[in-house]
Amino acid sequence: MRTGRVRFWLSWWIVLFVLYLLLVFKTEPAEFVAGALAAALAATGATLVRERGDIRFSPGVGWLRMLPALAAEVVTGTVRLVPLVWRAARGERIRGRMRAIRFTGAGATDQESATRRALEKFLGSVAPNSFVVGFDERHDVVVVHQLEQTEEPPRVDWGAS
Amino acid sequence: MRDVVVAVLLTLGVATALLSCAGVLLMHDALDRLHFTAPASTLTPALFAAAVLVEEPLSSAGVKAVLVALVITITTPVLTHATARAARVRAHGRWKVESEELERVEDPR
Amino acid sequence: MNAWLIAATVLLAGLVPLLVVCVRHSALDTLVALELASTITTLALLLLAQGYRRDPFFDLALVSSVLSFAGALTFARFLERWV
Repeated sequence: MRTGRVRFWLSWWIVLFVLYLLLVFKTEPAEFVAGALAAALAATGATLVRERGDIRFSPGVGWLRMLPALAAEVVTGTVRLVPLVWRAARGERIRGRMRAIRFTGAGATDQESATRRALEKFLGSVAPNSFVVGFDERHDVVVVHQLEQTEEPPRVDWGAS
Repeated sequence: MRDVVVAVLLTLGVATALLSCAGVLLMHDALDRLHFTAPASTLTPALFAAAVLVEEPLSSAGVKAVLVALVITITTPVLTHATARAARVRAHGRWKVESEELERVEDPR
Repeated sequence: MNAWLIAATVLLAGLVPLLVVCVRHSALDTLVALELASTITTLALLLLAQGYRRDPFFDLALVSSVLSFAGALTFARFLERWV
């Protein structure tokens, strides 16, 4: 438990220290000291928040595998917006609509499900053509708003790649 | 050659941003407009950061441009979801799935 | 005048349609336009920073991006229930 806490603090300290040095872009001793102190303060804050136990967010590195597919969807989605804007400029009324998609664990309260929902809300809202409106726990459903209708429902389980 | 690459990246970035502005103007509903915030907050910052990196690789300007692009790209989907949720709660009084939506529940891809 | 400053000027012209949306439509439409306008101005600051070769402007753009997020999120929460 104690080792875990130290490792968590150290990981945050390293990331924040590097971020500080990148922001100031200097290698003077005073900047190293200031960066180390500022990073220590922030890492302590992050550790104290984690100790409260309210939030546990540990997505795992496997989620990063979806990044290329997400980037491709952003580019293709943006290209698909061009004819939509053209049609709207010519007076056509473009209407998006809500789509409800089955999502197992929409109401589960364990850490893994909560992490999964948080990530899906984020990842499902990056690309232009659709975004996540919310999860319905009672019916295990996620509601997504889609602008240009596609035959297949928008992707909602980015972690399952 | 470098100037050409920078000009192309800047042109594409500005075009994507203006596409977003045009879309927000031309749509009729807040939720439809919301879709058009995505290109200006994903592609445009990436293109501009790439342009800065091409012009000044390994400089504080490049690092900060990448950081700005990352902050915009990461925060905008959160805002999009929050705004969509606010629109839904505002329209219906509380967040809930509509019965006609439940009738048309689809299986995931 | 260089490519960066020209790009910043053209980018800022994109604020005009967003202003039209703010003036003519509902609070939620205004919020969407505000979110996009914040992104546009942050990116314009980035371009101006590079165009004028002023490093502090990059810090301005970074702070603007973070504060825009906080501000828009606050508006979204208020518009959900209280306004």
